[in-house]
Amino acid sequence: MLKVNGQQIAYHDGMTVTDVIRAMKFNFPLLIVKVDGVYVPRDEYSNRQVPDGSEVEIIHLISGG
Amino acid sequence: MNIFVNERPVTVEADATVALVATLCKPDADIFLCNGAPVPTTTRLQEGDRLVLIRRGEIPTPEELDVLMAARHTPGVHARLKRATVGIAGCGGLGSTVAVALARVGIGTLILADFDVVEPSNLNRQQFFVDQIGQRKVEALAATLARINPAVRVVPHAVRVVPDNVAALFGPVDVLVEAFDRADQKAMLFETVQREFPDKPLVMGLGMAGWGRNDLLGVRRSGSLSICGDDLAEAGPHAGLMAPRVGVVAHLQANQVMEILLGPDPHIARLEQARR
Repeated sequence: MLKVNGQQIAYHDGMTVTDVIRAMKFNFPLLIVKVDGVYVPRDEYSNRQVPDGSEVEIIHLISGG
Repeated sequence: MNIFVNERPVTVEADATVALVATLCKPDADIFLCNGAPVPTTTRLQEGDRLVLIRRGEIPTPEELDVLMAARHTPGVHARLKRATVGIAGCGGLGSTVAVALARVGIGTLILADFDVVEPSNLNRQQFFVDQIGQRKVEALAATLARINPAVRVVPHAVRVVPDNVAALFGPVDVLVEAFDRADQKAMLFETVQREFPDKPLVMGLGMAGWGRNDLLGVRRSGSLSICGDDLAEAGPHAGLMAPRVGVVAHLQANQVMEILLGPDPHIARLEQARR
């Protein structure tokens, strides 16, 4: 299991940040992703594996100010 | 006993009343504040009290103004805020409002950056005036802040914030406020801060379009990052940006800056504890 934004989701072997984003149905182009509190740069989403039991935070950046 | 009158140390007899000290220090005073709140003149003072005496309508000297403006502050807060430097990236609806709030509480230095000029569509939510249309936002805002609190040092940069200048602009700040309109700018600032100074407190504004739904607005923290807003309502067609909701988020950001600089308010913590 993973905890993503406080919500439990199913884990599978080799799951990457990209897989987590897909599983959460995030389609925002601009995200901030942290795995266990550590920031993951955008260009590492597809090859950064997320260990089972991790806490993932995904913040979507939206316009307005 | 020793007390402070308009922040100057004064020795008075034990149990002196506000009225007595006023007679000695400022006989024409007609506003009496002690430790951040109005008090009756019959109040007996205690060791270490901070009394502020004001004559209604009198224009103080610049040094006096700095003290008198903070008479409603919680004691001790003003001196700590005066030592702080806060950066504000973008001076639109969020940034101009954050700057006004932080100038009122007397932040020592505000570093402002924005490349744009004031135009009419800004005036529905941004702290500018009709007679400032066409002026650079940082210059118009610096002029307004000087009228609000001349003791604040304002450093205006009329430049577009880009990855290459973030470190030079905001390296010295204690807290950085993200106050851009566009999501790609917000992402650029976050990513650059992560690279240049990942531990620097960053306070972002995310989600404030529309009106109402105060219940959805709040702050969440993740390490050195604080996010203010509803995390939901993106600005766009049929989702406008208007003073009240943008202003709430801007003040959430300014309030978060206070908490980062001062730590959690111990008085609120005690009240919260007592209610449990």
